[in-house]
Amino acid sequence: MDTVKLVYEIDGDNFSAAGEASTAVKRVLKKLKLPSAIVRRAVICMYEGEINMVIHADGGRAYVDVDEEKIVIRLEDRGPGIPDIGKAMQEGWSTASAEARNSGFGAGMGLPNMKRNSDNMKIETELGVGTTVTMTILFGGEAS
Amino acid sequence: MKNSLILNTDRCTGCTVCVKACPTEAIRVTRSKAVIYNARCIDCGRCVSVCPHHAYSVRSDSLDRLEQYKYNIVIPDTSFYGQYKNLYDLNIVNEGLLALGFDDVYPAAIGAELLADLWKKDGSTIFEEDLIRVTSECPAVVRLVAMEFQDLIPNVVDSLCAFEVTAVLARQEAVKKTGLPPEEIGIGLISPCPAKNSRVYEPIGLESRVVDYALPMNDIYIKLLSPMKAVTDPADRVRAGKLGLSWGRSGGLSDMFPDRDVLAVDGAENVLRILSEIEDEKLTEAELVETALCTQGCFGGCLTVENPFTAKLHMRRLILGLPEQNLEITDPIRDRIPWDYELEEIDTEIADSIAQALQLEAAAERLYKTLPKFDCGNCGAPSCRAFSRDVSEGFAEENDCIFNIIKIMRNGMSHEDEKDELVPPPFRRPL
Ligand SMILES: Nc1ncnc2c1ncn2[C@@H]1O[C@H](COP(=O)(O)OP(=O)(O)OP(=O)(O)O)[C@@H](O)[C@H]1O
Ligand code: SF4
Ligand SMILES: [Mg+2]
Repeated sequence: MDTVKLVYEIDGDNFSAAGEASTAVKRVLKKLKLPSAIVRRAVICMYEGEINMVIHADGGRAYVDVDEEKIVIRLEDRGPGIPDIGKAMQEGWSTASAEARNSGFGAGMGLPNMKRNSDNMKIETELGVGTTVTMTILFGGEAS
Repeated sequence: MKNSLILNTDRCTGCTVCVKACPTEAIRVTRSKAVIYNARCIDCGRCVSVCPHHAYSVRSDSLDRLEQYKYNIVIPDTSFYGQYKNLYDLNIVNEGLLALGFDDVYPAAIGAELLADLWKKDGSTIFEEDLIRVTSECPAVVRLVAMEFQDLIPNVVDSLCAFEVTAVLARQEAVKKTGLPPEEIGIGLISPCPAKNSRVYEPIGLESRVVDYALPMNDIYIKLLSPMKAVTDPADRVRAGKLGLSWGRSGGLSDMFPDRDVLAVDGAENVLRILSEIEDEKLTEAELVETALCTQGCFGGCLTVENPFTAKLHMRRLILGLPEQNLEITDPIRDRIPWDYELEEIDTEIADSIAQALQLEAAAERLYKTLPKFDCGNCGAPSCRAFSRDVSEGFAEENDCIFNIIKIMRNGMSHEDEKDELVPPPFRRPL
């Protein structure tokens, strides 16, 4: 089974470039004959995750693997880590800087949005070491 | 669907300027000549505008077509009036057109004003709750949506183009006036672009053609120069007011709804970006997006003569003394004109299953990683990315890339000095 493997370096703190990787992912996904709802969900997951790496973790790396059954998005950073995942997952909870807020980020909606749009989301995080968020979108999945 | 671009291969040198300018990457150069891939072409005419050798022309008609009809009506696209310097009255253009052999002139602004009036009176004909509407006046944008943003098909405002509404009305009025059967009346559009020509030849959502021929704006522009000089006391044939005449420039619609969130977006790159944002639900603040593929709307069409900014200025002057609005949609007009159309998807993907699409894309990705990402265009494709895809789809070969050829050349040499001599400076060893 063929797998399309994509890798993107995400710059930290460059708000105007934030979103470039998700745009690139979208361009590839649109070529894959996937149902448009799947593409949209994957792009939302990728975008929110990418932005989080930019504004909270000084950038990182995104891996996107697509095969006939699923899209797996893995976002790895070496940022500060998330002290309380339960809180971070709450809608409206945010530690975004004033600068990030001025750029329109920081509503505390990113992680809940990623959760909602993926069939499976796993966060591995260690304070001072970094965070890895892995999201799976199944082509036969149920997520809204 | 056919497109309206014609390449004169004698003039084409294979320089790849159009390949790079095409917003949908529909052109490749092979064997020293450009080739347009019809299925990917939206007829915007960028290639016509940028070609340094003037190798492209636009499928269109000539004034000879008038002879086929007993009565001829011309529809000048609104942008046409902006082309002339030192013009102080729109009707000088209209009167000049009569001298060219037309029996009547119906500016496209008539249809525009009727559409505008309909939308103003009944917002539900254009706005829809929880849906960002995208205007459909530019046929190139409509085609782009059908081809690349199929999810947004419901967002496209389902109305005819202003020139089509004008044509339907003009024919009905001419039948009444002349007693001729409709088919003996010829209607021609003075068109700014291949997209509108294609729309004339193959309308969407209409059972048959409503405009009989398309005349290139730049051609009529010249032919009209001397008849216009002879005009003394022109009759009024504009019929529309400022409302209808402010279409054609980007932003015309936005001004019409000052209390709604309307965005005006023009230029291919900007349109692509905004459609993408609507698709990703990143754009949330607009109710209606007015779109035109050309910079400054139809004033930037490839068949125009004047630069779009100056043309806009001319237009501003020309409408100064006109009433805000002259035409109103009445029930009989509304009933006589077919307003709605269905937009169909255009499928450009060659893969027919996810498995095959994955295989093509995986192969393209693998090749892409090895390419220099210079987007130099020597392979005849617009970018390394597009080239990788061409190779995976079987339209090109890996060694069509000049860098791969250089690699092969280097490998064939035994001495490093020899290799360095053979290849261009960027590929030589560092000192
Ligand atoms: N990669 C990460 N590294 C460190 N902290 C993170 C990371 N991703 C999220 N967080 C923390 O979790 C919080 C919630 O994230 P979430 O994406 O839900 O909201 P936000 O980024 O603050 O705002 P929004 O996504 O609405 O712009 C963030 O404010 C931040 O404290
Ligand atoms: S903006 Fe106007 S001139 Fe340009 S492609 Fe669209 S319809 Fe034609
Ligand atoms: Mg976030």
